[in-house]
Amino acid sequence: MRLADVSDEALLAGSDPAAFEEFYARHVETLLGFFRRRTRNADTAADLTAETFAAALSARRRYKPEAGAAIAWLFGIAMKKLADAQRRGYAEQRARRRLGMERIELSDADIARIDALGEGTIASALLEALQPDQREAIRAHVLDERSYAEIAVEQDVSEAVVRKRVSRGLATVRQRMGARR
Amino acid sequence: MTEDFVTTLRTQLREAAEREARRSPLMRALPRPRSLVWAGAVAAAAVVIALLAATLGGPPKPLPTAPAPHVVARLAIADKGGLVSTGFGSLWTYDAVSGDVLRLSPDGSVVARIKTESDILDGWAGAGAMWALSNTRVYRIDPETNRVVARIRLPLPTRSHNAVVTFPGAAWVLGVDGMQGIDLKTNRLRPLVAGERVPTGFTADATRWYVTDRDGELTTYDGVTFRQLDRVRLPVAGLPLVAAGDDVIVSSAAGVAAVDPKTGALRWRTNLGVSRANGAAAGLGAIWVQGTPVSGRDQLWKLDPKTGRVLSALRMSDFGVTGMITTRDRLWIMSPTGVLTAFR
Repeated sequence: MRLADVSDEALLAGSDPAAFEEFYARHVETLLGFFRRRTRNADTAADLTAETFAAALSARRRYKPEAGAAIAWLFGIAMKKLADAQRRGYAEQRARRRLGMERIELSDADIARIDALGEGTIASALLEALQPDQREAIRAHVLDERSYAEIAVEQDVSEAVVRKRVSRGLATVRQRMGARR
Repeated sequence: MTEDFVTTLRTQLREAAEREARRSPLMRALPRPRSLVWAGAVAAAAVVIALLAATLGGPPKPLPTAPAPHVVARLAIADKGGLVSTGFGSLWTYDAVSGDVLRLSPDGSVVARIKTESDILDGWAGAGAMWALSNTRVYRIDPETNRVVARIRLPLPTRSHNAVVTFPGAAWVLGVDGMQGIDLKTNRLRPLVAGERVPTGFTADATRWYVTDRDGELTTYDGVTFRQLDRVRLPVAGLPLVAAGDDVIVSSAAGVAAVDPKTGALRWRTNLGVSRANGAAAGLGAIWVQGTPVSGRDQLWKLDPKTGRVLSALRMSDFGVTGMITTRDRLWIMSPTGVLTAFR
């Protein structure tokens, strides 16, 4: 079986280094985007991401699949690291030091990518929060670049309804993004 | 050249996970702290068991396994990596983009950057110099002074030469029409020696060339005179990767094979599950192969040179190989992104 076919829970439970690497690859961007959105700083987001995965690597033997999803467990660590950082004013390096991992300096390209992940996460989260009919209409029209007419046929509604769903959904996203800023 | 954050963190985590994995079995095997009385009893019991095992033959021995190679240095020294060679007490390589020839100490630190004013296609140390090939010239660098002492113009058209190869007392430039020797006294090119067959690949050891051709044959030439010594049919379809002792290691389907260049006999063949063998080196008592598996990251395999059996394997941080060589105690691999990694 390929690692790509293995569940998050099985990856964390395995002792093979490749399994944890696969787990990391699946979630690193989500975590970077999450931390970037919460800290508004790419450097801090990168530090917290590295620290979270280092802590997860050290603690993975203590993870019990029956206690919940692996991603929830990872985010539990992430939330704790975030709270610590907000209290101290900086991201600690304890888990990385224990594993002999050096702090990674970010390049301009890294910062741009992490910033984009933060934005992407915001947009994605906001999209997910929409009503299902609005979300599907926006995905079909904006992301998949399909015409209103085509979407209308597929969803068995009039073209005007599709336009209204897209318009209202985007307005909601804009409003929520503005409220956050 | 630096890796991006996500890749670097991935590498750090993998290395940490591998360290943990190596440590864990050892920790499990170690006895927990016991009292001296218990320790004495356990030791006595161990002696008895060992004596019984010696008398009765004991359980079957596990297959011998070698410790996995591990990274001892990882150096980002170029924007685009090239071949790596040794000579004059140094490692030599080049930055294919900037045109710098790099002279490295045995531990990999850069001791000289020698400008050639051009992109470099190929470079090799030998025949009393370091040689660097560009689109239009061959540069000869004096290892005594680290200076370019000759800029040998290549015949037109440009970009029609692709390798420079050296043997003791001889240096050659390979092009699409054949090869030309370099007169080491005058730094002039000798007349073209046209190949009679269409080559598909070559490798060389200290004194010989091994060239494969479209007809599926492997021809051995003298390195200095280019006189043909042997010609055999390859027992497997593949390209030569490295000469190892009396054998030539060639890529073979999903792995590598060892071929006797005198008889064409297949000495061994090992399936590594690769879609491509990117490079190989011989030395430190092993054949080292870097390849791209059908899925997943590139790997480095350490093979027994006599049997081809896999002794150990390691997942690589970098993709691809531009140069691969062994020194007294290390294996060096240069990646296309200019990262030189040392393994032991």
